[in-house]
Amino acid sequence: MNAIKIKVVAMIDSDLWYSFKRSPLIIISATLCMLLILSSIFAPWLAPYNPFDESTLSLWAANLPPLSTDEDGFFYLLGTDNQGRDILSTILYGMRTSLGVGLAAVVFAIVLGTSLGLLAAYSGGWLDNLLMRVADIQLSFPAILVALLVNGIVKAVLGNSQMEMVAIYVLILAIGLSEWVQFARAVRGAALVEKQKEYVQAARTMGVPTLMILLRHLLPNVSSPILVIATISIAVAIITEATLSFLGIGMPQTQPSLGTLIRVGGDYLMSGEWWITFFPGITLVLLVLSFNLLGDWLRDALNPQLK
Amino acid sequence: MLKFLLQRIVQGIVVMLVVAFVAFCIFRFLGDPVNNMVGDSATEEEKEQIRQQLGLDEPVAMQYLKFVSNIAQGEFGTSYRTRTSVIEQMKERLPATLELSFISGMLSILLGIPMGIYSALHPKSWLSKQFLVGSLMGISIPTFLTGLLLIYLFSVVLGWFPSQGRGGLVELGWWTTSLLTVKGWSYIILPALTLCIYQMTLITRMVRAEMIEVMRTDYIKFAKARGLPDRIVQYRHGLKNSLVPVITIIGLQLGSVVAFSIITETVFNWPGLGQMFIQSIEFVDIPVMSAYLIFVGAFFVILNLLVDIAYAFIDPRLRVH
Amino acid sequence: MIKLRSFIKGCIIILILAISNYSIAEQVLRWSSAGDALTMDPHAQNETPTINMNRQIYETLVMRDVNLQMEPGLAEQWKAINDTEWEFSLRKGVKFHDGADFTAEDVKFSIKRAAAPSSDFKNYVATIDNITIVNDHTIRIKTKEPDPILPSYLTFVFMMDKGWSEKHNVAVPQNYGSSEETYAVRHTNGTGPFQLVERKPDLKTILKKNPTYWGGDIALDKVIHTPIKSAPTRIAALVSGELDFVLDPPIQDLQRLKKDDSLNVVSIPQIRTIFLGMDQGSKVLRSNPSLGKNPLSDIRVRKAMYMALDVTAIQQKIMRGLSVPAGMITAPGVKGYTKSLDERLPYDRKQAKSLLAEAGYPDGFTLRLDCPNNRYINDEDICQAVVSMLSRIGIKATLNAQPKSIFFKSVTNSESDFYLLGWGVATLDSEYVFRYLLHSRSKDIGTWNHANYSDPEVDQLIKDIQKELDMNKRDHMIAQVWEKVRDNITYLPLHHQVINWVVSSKFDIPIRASNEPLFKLVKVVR
Repeated sequence: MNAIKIKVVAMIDSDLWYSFKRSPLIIISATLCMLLILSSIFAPWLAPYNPFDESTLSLWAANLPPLSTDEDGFFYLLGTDNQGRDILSTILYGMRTSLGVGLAAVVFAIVLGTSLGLLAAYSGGWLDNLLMRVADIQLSFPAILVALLVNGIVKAVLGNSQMEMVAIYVLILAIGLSEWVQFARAVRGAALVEKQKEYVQAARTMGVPTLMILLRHLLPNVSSPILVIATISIAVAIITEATLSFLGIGMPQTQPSLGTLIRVGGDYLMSGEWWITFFPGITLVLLVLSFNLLGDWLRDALNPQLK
Repeated sequence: MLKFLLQRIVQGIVVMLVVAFVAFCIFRFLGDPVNNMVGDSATEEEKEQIRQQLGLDEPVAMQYLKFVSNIAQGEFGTSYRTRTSVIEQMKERLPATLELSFISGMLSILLGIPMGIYSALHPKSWLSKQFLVGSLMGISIPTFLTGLLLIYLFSVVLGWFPSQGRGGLVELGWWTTSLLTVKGWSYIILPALTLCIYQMTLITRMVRAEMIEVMRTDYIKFAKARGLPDRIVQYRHGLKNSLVPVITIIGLQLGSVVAFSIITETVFNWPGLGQMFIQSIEFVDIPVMSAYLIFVGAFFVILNLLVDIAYAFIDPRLRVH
Repeated sequence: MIKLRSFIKGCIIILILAISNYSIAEQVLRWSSAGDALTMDPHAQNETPTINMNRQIYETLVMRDVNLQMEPGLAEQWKAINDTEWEFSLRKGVKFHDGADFTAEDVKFSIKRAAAPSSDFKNYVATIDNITIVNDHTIRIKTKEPDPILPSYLTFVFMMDKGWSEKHNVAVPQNYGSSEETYAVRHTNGTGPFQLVERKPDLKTILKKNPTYWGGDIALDKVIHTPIKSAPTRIAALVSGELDFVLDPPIQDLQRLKKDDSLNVVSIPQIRTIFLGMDQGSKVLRSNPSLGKNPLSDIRVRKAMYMALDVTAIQQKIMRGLSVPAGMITAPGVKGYTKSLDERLPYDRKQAKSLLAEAGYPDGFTLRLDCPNNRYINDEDICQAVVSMLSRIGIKATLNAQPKSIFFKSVTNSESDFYLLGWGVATLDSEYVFRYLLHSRSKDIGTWNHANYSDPEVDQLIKDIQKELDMNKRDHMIAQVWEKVRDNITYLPLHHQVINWVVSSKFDIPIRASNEPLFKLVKVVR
C-alpha cells in the first residue's frame, strides 16, 4: 500500500507530471487522444449503427446530409454516405481500423526493432555491421515507399481476390517493416552505452544468462526513447495507412479505415455532398495531430537526447 | 578526401547491387514470369521458347548477373500490362517527376530553412510560434488531404489553376518541360505546393532543432562573450556550424520528395513515375515495379553521394583526412 | 561561344513558339473518359470504348448515322440478289491513311480476318459462307443460311488494308485474352476521318484529321483522349477548361454542371441494359467450392435473388433518377422490346426468403460478385448495393470490383460465378442479344453466355430467327425467346442506362444512343 503511495507521489512530483500540468495544449491533446482511442475501442457500443452489417443497410437512406432523419425514423448526426451508412458510425469504425493498424504496426516495429537493436548491440561484430547497414539503406527509403513495395509484393503473391481478406495484416506488416529501423537504432545506441557500465559487466561475470541481462537491465534503460519514438511513429503509421488506403491499395471498402472513407467520399466532394469526406478527414487530422503533439511534448519532457 | 569519396562510391555500388537483387527477386519469383508474358492459352513450346529467351533455365546466380548487366545497359524488360518497353515508359514519365520534385524541393528549402532559422533565433516571437503551430499541422495533414483541399480551393472554388494533368509542354529533344510556359507553371504550381508542405515542415523543424543545439554550444557562448555582434555570431558561427547536419537532412528530404510524389501524382493525375508505379501495383505489373525500385534506389544513392561530397567541402575535418 | 549563342537562340525560339501556341487556330478537342480503349486492333475486342476509338480511324461497309439508322459507308449501296447472297458496290477513290487504295481485296481480307479464331467479331460474320470478288469495286457475300440482318452486322466489321496487315504480320487479330502484342495494337491504317498520331495506353491517344477523307472536310484538326480514372478529377478538369468533353460524368455532378454556362449537358436514353449474370451451368461455385453444389442452377434461388433487388432504390439513390428500371435485358428501341416484357417481378424480400428456404438455403450461401469499376455508370456502387440487398435475404456476396481490363479478362476466361455486365445492342435487333448472351456457348456463338445457359429449344429458335426472312414470323419467334428467358430468370435485369455527355459550349457533339461520339460530325460553335 505504502509502496503504491510512494509511487504515486513520485509520479506527481516528477518533472513529467509538472510539465504536463503546466501546458494546457498538452492537456487538451492528451484528453483528445484518450477520447479518440476510447471511442475507437468502444466503437461497437458507441456507434449508433453497425455500418458494415450489410443486411441492415437501406439504400433509401443514402446521401443524407448531417442532422437528417430517414423515412424509417433513424437519425444521422453526421449524415450518410452513398450506400446509406451512418457517417458517424463509419468514422468510429474506421478510426478503430486506422488506430488498430497503426498501433499493431508500431508494436510490430518495436518488437522487431528492439530485438534486432539489442541483438546488434550485444553481439557486435559482423552481425552488428550487417544489421546496421541494412538499417542505413532502409532509412534512406521513405516509409511510404517501403510499405507500398511490401504491399505490392504480397499482392503479387496472393493475387487480387485474396488480398481483401488479408489486407489488414499486410498493412500491419508493411507499415511495421517500414518503421523498425528507428527503434533498432535507438535501442542499439542506448544498449551500447549501458553495456559498458559496471553493473552489466558485474552481472555478466556473475553468470547471469545473456537474455536475462538484455531484458532485465538493458531494456528498462531504453524504454524512454522507445516511448518517444513510438508516439510519433503511431502518427506516422496512421498517416501511412491512410495514404495507402487513399491510393486504393490499403483497406478495402468493405472494411474501411479513415483513408478509405476519404477516398470514397472524394467522389462526392464536388457534387455538394461534402460531409462524406469532410468528417473522416477532420477526424484523421485530429488523431494524427494529437499524437504528434504528445510525441513532441514527451520528447522535450524526457529529453532523451533525440533528434 | 579522395579515399573517403571512393569508399562512398563503392558503398553506393554495393547498395545498388542489393537493391537490384531485391528487384531481381521480385521479378523472378513473384508469379510465373512466363505465364505473365504469354497468358494461359499459350502452348508448351511457346512457353519453353520464352523461358529460354529470358534465360530462366540457367542457374539463378547467372540470371542475376544477366539481370544486373541488362539494367546497366538500360534494359528493363517489357511491361506485362501495356506491352511496351519499360525504359521507354520511364523515359516518357521521368521529366514530369523530376520537374515536380525539383520545384517542390526548391520551394521547401527556400521556405523551410529561413523559417527554421528564424524560429531558432527568436524562439519567443509571435511569428515563431505561428511557424511551429503551422509545422505541426503540416506533418499532421496527410499529403493527399492537402492535395484535395488545394484542388477544391484553387481549382473548383476560385478557378485559378488547373486541377489535373501536365500542360503547356515544350519538347527539348526527348525531354518535355512545363517550366518554359506560363501555362506549364499554372499546371505545376498546385502539385508542387502540395508536395512541398510536408517536406518544408520537416526541414523547418529540423533546422530549428539543429540551430538551437548549436547556439547552446560553448564556442557560441564564447563568441558572444567576446562581444562579437549578434548577427555575426548567429550567421557566421551558428548557421555555418548547423549547416552540416542540415545538408544531410535536406539531401534525404529531397529523396523523400520523389517518393512522396507518388501520392501527389495520383491526386493530380500528374503523368510521372509515381503514377506509373501505383498503376503497376494495381495491375501487378512486376517489371515496372522492379524498374521503379531500381530508379528510386539509384536516385537515393546518387543523392547520398552528393551529400557526402558536400560534406567533404564544408567540414574541414574531412578535408584533413 | 557560338554554340552557346545558338543554344540561347534556340531557347528563345522555342519560348516564342510555346507562347504563340495559343494563337494558332487549330481546332483541338480534348476529351476524357474513365477507361481507355483496350487495343487498337479493330477486330480484337468487342467493347464499346475500344470500338469507339477505332471507329474514328477505321470504317465499315455499312455505317450508322446520328440516329443509328444505317447509311452507306465504304459500300455505296447493297442489295440482296437472292435468299443467301448480297452484293455490295464499294465506294471508289477511297484511300487508306498510308495511301493505298481501298479495294474488294481488302474487304475480303478484312471479313476473313474478323472471322479468325482470335477475333472478337467472329459472331458478326459467322453466317458468311464465302466472298466473291466480282471486280475491284464489287463483291458478293454468300451466306450459309438466309441472313436478313447481315448489313447491320457489317456496321461493326472494320476494313483494314490487306497489304499493310500482311507487311506488318498482323493478318490475324491479336489474341487479347492471352495479352498478345502485335503491331496492330498500337499502329493503325484505316480509311477513316482521323488517323492515329500517338498512342500511349492509359495515358494519351492523339488522333489527327485525315486531310484526304472521302467524306468531306472535318472541323476538328486534332482529337486528344486522356483517360482519367478519378471522376472528381475528370470533372474538375472539365470545369477548369482543360477538357472539352467528358463522356461519362458522374451523375451526382450533373445538377451542378448544368448551371455552368460554359458547359452543355446532353442526355439520351442509351441502348444498353445493366444486369447481373449467374453461372447456372457449372456443377459447383468457383468462389465457394466447399458448398459442393451450385445454388444458381436452381430457378428458385435465381428468383429469390431477383425479388431481393430493390432497383427503384438503385435508380433513385445511385443513378439519381437517370436510369430506367428494367425487366428485360434489352432496351427500348431494339426490335423485340415490348413494354410488357420489361415489367419487373415485384420487389418482395419476404417471398425471396421463402423461395430460398424452399430451395434448401434457409440461411443463404456465400459467393463472389465480380464487378468492373470503370466501365458502366456507377458500376461499383451498384454492385455494393446489390451485395447489401442480397445480404438482407441471407446471401453473402463478397464484392470483387476491378478495373475493366482485369474484369473482362476474368469473365472472358469463365472465372466468374456472378458478375455485373452491361449489354448494348449494336444492330438494334434482339437477335444480337440472343446470339451472344443466350445461345449455348460454343466457339463462335454464345461467346458472352457466361451464365452458361443452355436450352436446345432456344438455340433452335435463335437459329431460325437468324435465317427467317418473313418479318412477322421472325417477330413472333423473338417474343418466344424473350418469354422463355423471362420465365427461366436467366439474367437479373437492373436498369437501362441513360447517357449524359458534358460538352464545352465551344463544340457541338451530336449525342448518339449508342454512347459512341462520332468526331467527324463535331461542329465548332465559336
